[in-house]
Amino acid sequence: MEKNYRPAKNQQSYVLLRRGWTVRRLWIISIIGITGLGLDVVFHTLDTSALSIVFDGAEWNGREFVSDNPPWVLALSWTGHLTFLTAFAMLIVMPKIFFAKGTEKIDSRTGQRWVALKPGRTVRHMWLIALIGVIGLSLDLAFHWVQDGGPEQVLLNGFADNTFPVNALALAAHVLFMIAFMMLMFLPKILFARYTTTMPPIAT
Amino acid sequence: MRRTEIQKVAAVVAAATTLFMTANTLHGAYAHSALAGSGATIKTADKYQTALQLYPKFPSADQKVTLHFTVLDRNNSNVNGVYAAMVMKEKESGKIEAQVPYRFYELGDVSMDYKFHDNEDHVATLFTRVIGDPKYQANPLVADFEIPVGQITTISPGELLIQVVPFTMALVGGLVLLFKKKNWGPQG
Repeated sequence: MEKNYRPAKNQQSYVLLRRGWTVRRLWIISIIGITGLGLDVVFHTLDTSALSIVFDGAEWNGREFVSDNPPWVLALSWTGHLTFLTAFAMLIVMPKIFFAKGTEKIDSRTGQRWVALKPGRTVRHMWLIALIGVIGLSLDLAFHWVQDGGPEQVLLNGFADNTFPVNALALAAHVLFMIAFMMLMFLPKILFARYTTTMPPIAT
Repeated sequence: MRRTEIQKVAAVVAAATTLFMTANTLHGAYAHSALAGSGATIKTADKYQTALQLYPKFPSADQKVTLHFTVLDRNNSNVNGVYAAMVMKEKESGKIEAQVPYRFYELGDVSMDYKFHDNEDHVATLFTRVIGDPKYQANPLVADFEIPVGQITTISPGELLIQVVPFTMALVGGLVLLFKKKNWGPQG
């Protein structure tokens, strides 16, 4: 991404989207992510209970959570899940949080779009959310590694322990969810061609 | 991309999800899916699946536990007519704690009560002879299941809230504060 900036306080920033990208198109990734998350809730509800989307590795028996994992592994589970769910929730509504409405301008020479970020929002904020997502995902990887014996269980969790259709549901949920999560985390790299504090003159 | 295009994408994703779920439901109507979502441990060998469910799920020493094994065929249907035997061993020492001799089970559902003597990892091995299958009538189908005993962590909702609420508040509060800060230094 080409950088050309050092913004003053409260200065609005502009980004040039890569060819073919629009802010609205970002919502497609969000829809994929929400679908994955929805399917994951259905899977966990069928498998144990909806609570295990956060408290994976423990089961609610009506009075308390019971698990054959030691407390530190359970702590790894809920801190990881809460961290990446928080990041994911913010990534899903990223277009709403970051981009000013009605500021899209098309450069007729290239067909690319310039978009203004909302005041106070920066690309660094996006990377910050991505960093939280990476921390959450790392905690989840560590949890599955300790509990299930391999980091790949982040994707395959629930696949081997269930029969069709629950195993298919688990796989579809995790794959959709992870595709959206990865795309949203690396969005500044995927989406932006240029980042600047003033929008250059464009041919419209 | 126009709003109608987003609506189209949303509709396609919703339709695909509905179709997927409906297909699964229909499939489930024809196939025995007693194990789906049961939390059972499943072992697959050749064309058979053997599953174990424990009641209670997390056993401890001197507690009576029901071991429920299910033997399914490739269509997820219970195998009719099996002879099954079970051996219970301590995982680490390999010491045999108990042996249940072969008995006939009409529907591939094998339930046994068992009391563990120590809080140690155990291995339950189910031997199944399938009537009508030349291969597995002569030589039994063997499935090993690890059973952790007495390694239970219990957390009350109160204990969990004391940990989870401050963590979540700190995480969300930190993000809100950072986003309210207008000038966040050099960008990139």
